[in-house]
Amino acid sequence: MDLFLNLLKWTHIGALVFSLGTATAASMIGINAVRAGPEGARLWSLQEKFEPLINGSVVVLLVSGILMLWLKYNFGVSHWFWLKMVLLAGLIATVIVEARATKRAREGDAAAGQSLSRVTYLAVAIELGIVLAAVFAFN
Amino acid sequence: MYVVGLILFIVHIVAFVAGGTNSVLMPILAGKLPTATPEARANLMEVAEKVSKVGKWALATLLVTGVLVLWLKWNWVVPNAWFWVKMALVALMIVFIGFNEVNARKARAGDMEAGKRAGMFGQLTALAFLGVIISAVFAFN
Repeated sequence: MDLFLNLLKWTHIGALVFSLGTATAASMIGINAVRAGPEGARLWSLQEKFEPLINGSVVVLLVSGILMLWLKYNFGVSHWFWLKMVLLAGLIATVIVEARATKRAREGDAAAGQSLSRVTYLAVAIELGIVLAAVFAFN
Repeated sequence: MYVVGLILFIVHIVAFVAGGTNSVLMPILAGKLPTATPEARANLMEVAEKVSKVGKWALATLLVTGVLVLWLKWNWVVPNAWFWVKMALVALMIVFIGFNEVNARKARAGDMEAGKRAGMFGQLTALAFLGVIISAVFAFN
């Protein structure tokens, strides 16, 4: 069981890094696509290819997180864990806003495109907060 | 001193996430380059260069904070053999990153074979990084 739990933790951390990496690339390409204006169609097409990778790694994060909470911690958690969950809820809300802004930006909405950078930075800040809360919760 | 050790540990973790993002992303970007249009390739290279810069700073931060955390938080006490596995894999990562850099420079000058080698070393770096994660989990769990 210890080996399985360690592998689960490895999967969770690996999925965290993978999702951050692919989301970072998608955001940077998206911001460049906004700057390219009407010529950005190919860049949007490239950005879309990252979405299954991001979605897949987020699913892995959620599943491995729930499994660890059950099998390793028996659902016994500290207030830092709840802070992590609040920040996670905030991240999900931010990602939904970002997805909607991306969809409108692809359709040519300049204002939505302008908001993409701000929303991306907010998402990164929340992700760092989640990592911090996790360090305090599970140190 | 405990607080300093904890702060350094947090910086180490954040640098690990930033550096890991770079390690994971580079092989993905390299995989998309061969079939990318010239415009998309330029964009991918721009993303790769920005992330690569973050990766280098992250590596330097990891090395410095790693030594400091081992001193201040763990008092130079190595938990088990997995720590040395982690150190070996970190050394391997540095070697692969070095080869990746050399070949990437040649690729920018037009050497396509060097570009393929750079991609291969990028993938090896990512594999070594996954090994670093698992050995860290076993060392400090």
